[in-house]
Amino acid sequence: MRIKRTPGEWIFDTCNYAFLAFLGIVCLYPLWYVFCAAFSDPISLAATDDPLLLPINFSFESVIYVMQNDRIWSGFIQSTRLLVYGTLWNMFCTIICAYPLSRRDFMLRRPVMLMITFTMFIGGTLSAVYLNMQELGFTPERGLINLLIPFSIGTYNMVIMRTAIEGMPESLVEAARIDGAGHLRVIWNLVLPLTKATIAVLAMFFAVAHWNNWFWPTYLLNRKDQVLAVVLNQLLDPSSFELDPSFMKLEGMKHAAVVISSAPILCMYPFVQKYFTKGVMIGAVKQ
Amino acid sequence: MNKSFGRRLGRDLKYNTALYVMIIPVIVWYFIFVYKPLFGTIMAFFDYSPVRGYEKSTWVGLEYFVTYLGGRNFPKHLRNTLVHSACTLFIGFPSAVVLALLLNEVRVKWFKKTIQTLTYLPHFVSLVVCMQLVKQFCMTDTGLFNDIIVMFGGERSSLLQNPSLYMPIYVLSGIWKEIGWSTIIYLAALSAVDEQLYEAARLDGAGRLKQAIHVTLPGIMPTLVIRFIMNVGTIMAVGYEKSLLLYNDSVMEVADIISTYMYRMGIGGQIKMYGLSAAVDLFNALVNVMLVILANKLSRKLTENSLW
Repeated sequence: MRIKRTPGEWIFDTCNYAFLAFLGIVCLYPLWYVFCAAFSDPISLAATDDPLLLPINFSFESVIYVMQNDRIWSGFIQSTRLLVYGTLWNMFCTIICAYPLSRRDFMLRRPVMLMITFTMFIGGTLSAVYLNMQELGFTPERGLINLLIPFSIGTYNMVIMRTAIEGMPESLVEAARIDGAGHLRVIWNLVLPLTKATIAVLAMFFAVAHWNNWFWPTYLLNRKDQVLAVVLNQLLDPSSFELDPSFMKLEGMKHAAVVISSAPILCMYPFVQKYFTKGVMIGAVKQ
Repeated sequence: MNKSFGRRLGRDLKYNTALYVMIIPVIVWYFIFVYKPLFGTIMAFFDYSPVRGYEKSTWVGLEYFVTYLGGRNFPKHLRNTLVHSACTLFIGFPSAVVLALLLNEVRVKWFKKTIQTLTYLPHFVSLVVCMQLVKQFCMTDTGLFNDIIVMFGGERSSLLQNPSLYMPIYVLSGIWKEIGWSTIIYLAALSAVDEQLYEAARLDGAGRLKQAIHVTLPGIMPTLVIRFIMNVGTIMAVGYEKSLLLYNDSVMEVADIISTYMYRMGIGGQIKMYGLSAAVDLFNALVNVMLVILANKLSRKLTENSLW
């Protein structure tokens, strides 16, 4: 059906489309600029003053140079390991915690839920959290495990998982239990397949959070096995003198480092895009 | 009663053994990693140092609270914190709503999809990278912003060293990063508005503007109100992470907020005053809890929606 537009509507539509297109460009341009700078010839890039629209003298030099930097490369490996282990570990812990709390016939359900919900509203101060980890022996030489064990469960995400499990038809679990299925079997054969969408969304949250985590790794990892986000933060900082001057001089290198660090998450983008709305809405139910 | 409780527990233990095996490590974890630091926060009342431990630290009572709240830093931190969250509340929040409304008026599917994809993109770039990019772009010699300023006939300067530009940069970079992502919730609310209402409005001769005012807005009002009130509830809870990445010595006057001060007095500082840091945090947390409770009450009264 074609609705005839009045002149006022026509003007509004034109302005609206123009404005939105402008906004889209504003959102994209900084990232596009970085991309162009990363794939430009570093010398020509340093020589130009104009904002880039396309890479100048397309070259892989900066990217290759950055990949050969030991700290960036080891950071990349370390971040990848953290992402994989962290996502799996968080998922495991979240389900292990959420499933019992979703069982209506479980006697500890209410008291434990109360104990956990309380921590959503008030938590220990930053220094106390940090000192507690030090006392427990999660010192930097321990490596990645420092970023797994103390951060096993995020209460908020656990509550989301629990809500999803409770959303399953109760009779299904009951029938399986009566037929003699153990809880592990119920989790494996019923919970996992039926809450797939929520699990996908949570996995996306966990993966992004681990990859982008920079605050705690700064305190919990040694310099030599630092994650990419922290390495990047130190290398990119205008006031940093960590690098040899040749690196400092060539801003192309910095942009190449940004591209390398953001690429994995942005590559996930098309695959996780269909979960965006669900991802936002499952959190909103409880808000 | 007691006996039957014992018997019930026994039966539950037998029937749900696996559940107990699963939940007990979780309980232990919560006690060790969440409750222990929670009790550790009483360091706010001690002249605490990790070497001495609690037994040998002196009890100072409310001294740190009095020092901080009465000190010359507090009014500055309070003002900056309020300015930070007011900007988010009165600029960031409405701009997301407006974007959602404008996107809702777009009839061309592919155009809407493209704009959504583009505006969601920055959300997935990490905070570290975003803030470092902002810093790079603000640099005098090579910064993109300066290149653009020069293109329009301006002069180069170090933008982030300028206290009057710090807040706009902080707010705009935040909007750039999150505006698209925050529209999702409003777009979902918008798509839930009954199509028949639009039809009825059209039959009554309402144009697009009238439809937007009389159908769309009332339709998403509950979502708007609850989001707004919840934002008010967190007005004192401005996180330290973004500020830590963005600020520098020359803009401290406008950039230092309660949470960054808490961080610098605690684990982030040269001289660690854990007691003071904990006191600052505890004070802020108390105010926050009160604000959330207040916001929740308000929300229940106005919208029948509430957190608990």
